[in-house]
Amino acid sequence: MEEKFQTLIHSNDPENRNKWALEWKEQGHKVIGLLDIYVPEEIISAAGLLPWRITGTWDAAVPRAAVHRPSMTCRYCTHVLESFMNGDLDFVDGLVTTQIDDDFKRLYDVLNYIDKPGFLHIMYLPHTTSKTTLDMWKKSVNSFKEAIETYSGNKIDPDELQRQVLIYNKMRALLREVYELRKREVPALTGAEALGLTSAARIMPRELFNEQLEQLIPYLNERKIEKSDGKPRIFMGGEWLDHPGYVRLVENAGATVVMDEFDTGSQYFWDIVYDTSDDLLGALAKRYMMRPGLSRMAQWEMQANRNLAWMNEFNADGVVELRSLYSLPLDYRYLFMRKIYDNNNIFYLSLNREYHLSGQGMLQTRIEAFLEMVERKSRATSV
Amino acid sequence: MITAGIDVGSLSTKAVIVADGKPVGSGIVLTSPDTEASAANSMNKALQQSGLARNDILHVTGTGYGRINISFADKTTTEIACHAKGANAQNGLVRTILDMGGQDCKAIRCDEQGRVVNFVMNDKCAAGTGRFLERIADLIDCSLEELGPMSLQGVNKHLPISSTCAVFAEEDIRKLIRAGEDVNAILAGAFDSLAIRIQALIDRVGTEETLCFSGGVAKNVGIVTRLEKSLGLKIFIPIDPQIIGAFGAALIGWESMQ
Amino acid sequence: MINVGLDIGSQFVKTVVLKDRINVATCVDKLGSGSIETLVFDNYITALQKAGIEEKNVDYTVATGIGREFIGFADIQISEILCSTRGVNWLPPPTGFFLDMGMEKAIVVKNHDGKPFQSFRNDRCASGTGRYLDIAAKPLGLSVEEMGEVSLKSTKEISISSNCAVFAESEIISLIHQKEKTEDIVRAIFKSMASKVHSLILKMGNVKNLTMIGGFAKNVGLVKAIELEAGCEVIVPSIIDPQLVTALGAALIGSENEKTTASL
Repeated sequence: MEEKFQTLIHSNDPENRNKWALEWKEQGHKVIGLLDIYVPEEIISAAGLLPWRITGTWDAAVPRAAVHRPSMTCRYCTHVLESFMNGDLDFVDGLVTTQIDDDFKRLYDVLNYIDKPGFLHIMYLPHTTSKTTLDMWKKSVNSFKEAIETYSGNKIDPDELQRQVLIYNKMRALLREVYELRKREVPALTGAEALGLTSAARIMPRELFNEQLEQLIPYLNERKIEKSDGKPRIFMGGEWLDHPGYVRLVENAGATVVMDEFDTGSQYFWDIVYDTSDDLLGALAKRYMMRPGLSRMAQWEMQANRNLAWMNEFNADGVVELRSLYSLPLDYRYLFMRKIYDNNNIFYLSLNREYHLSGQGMLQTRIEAFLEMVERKSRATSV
Repeated sequence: MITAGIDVGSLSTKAVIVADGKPVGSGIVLTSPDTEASAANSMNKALQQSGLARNDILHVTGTGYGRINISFADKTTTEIACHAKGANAQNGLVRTILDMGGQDCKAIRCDEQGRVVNFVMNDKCAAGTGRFLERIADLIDCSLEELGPMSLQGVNKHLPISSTCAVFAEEDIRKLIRAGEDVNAILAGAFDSLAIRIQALIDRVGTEETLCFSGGVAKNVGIVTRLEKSLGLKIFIPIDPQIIGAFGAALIGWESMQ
Repeated sequence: MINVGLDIGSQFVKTVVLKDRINVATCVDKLGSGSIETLVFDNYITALQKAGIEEKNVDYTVATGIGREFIGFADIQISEILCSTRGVNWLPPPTGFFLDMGMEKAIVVKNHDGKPFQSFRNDRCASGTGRYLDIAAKPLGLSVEEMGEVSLKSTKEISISSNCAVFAESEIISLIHQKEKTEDIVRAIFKSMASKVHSLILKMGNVKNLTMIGGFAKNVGLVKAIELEAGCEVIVPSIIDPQLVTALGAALIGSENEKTTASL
């Protein structure tokens, strides 16, 4: 069982990553690449396509992307572009994204310019939440649905869409169940393992993932991670963080990562689609837009409240945030979060990081020093 | 009870031996690519100075960038904790520490026992670190010690010197020297903008007196004078600011054995 | 006809003396502290002495390089890119592209008959220029010149993940602490630099071979790394020190001064 678990959580390692997408293609189907957590994936699946989250190259060198993108811009976008340009993503048939920030918009433009991949679509995600903006988003979702239908050549059957919503909701429920096991004094899995799990969900047919995870749940219920005694329990943050090395870095510095707010982690699956009875598309749109989310210039208060609640539920001692270098939303959010965490007497460390694994020496020192502080406090307060 | 602390920095490796909480010997060597050897050498120097033998040392704490390589260390701790402890031990009134070493720059807040309460480190830039000043000294062809007094003699003519990148700052200084600008004036300008950057770092944790300035850069009277002016207070500089980290490491080791 | 070309860089001054368009003497000096014009003049006189030429017999002197504006005794100051292109065009074999890497720049130029047609420079950053090597060499305790030979002994491929020269320095120190071998680290440094150069070459388009000039062209490890990363042939001039090509070009332009100064 442990072997099965390990295989599953290493699905997004570079040597395994493309496996399911390529198998899918061999069966005559198409692969739609995704970058963020706001594109309604159920629609893609209902059209018979595979929604596949794109991990950019983990190499430091991005010479091809540098031709089109300045160096001091979102590194995730640059590394994704490099993968498109060096042929690594030749098998990806299309890409759908939202205009989360200017970098994503520019990436979309460049992909258009270099004509890769074949099918490109951008959706407009509003920056504020209200009935008006929800209606705008619903329209965006509708045009997206039509674009997918045109591309795939199939009209989406409402029953199939309903079925997909159930599959995705099941995936979300299963992942929630696993995350609950992290609340324990000795969590069932490490932060790095949890990241591996959510990464796996996004690169294979969701039904297949559900099957595999369901089989593992009884085993995970009994599982315990090693050597977590006395280590501070840490809540991690950061955007576009898909390299487990960064989570291991924090864990190796002397912490147990019990929870995250990664878009690549909890934010991917946390909320389910509700109330699908008379307006399925509307329910879908609502789920994808009306939740705290991450990496947007909006919803910060919702995110802060959610984080505080989680810190409580998961009994976290401090927050370590590894923000993506030159990525604006979390850079701006930092001051806002700083105030909230300070007011709530929560230890908060926020550092910049590259997209690929880099700067471990410097990060390690800062994280260790932070943990020394946190450890002392939690020793002092727990008697 | 005798303990030792070894601080393997990017420029120099320092060892301090402590007996019942009091320093009895120290040694400094330049950090070579073989950091294990540097650690051992600094330890030997400290042993010589203290007249003790290796067996007398009951506990060794390693700190600094190269701490993972000190095979004879019983425990490692970050230099942040060590600097706070060391500074506060030298002067019990210390609540804020500014440490500027070879590679980085940190501002630390501590409690009355020298335990870290908050800290911030330079994230992106080496401007203002020992390495940067070393390169300027090379450029001008003078020693590190001379930089400070020269910068105080010069008047800031607001010559353009980059304050965002160490590499650019160095280029700007090089160009100004070529153009025949007065070296003292160049240094005055460079150190003025440096002091502003350091002040900004300190502001991120806030200052509570007494503020201690440690690390090799603390020997630079040009930086110290400017900071005292912008902070509006007298800065405490330990007698030997370079060994504060190693001293703190030895103390932490000693405390852990109580 | 005696023409002199002076190339004043950030670290070195290079002088080339031409007699009837033939190279008769060269001189390279490291710039230290002191008046730059004096240092350059001394270098100029030394070169002339080597050629057995008296100063009063010099017909035309062209100064180029970032320090050219300080050289009052030159007849004219001309931009580097014009001089380097002219110099490259004189070298056999003819290539359509060249890379000029100096301490503060890395520039890829498309050569159209001795005139620069298009060029791409490093993005204001020190990484990818000679400065990066200068910074990276320190923690290893090597001179930049030694690094070339050392890298050839490398057997393990490691990566330097930092793009910034300053961070790379920290990273190199970490790698040293992690007991990585010096030759492997040096190779990684060259790979990092070559990747930046690769970017410039990609912007240029389809480049099969290019000439490399500037002092760093003599660094065999760097040249090899660029060939590997960019997948093109890098030709280092053999008939003249690559460091002198720009000064040579300056002198050549000077030799055509009656005809060409109007169009410059």
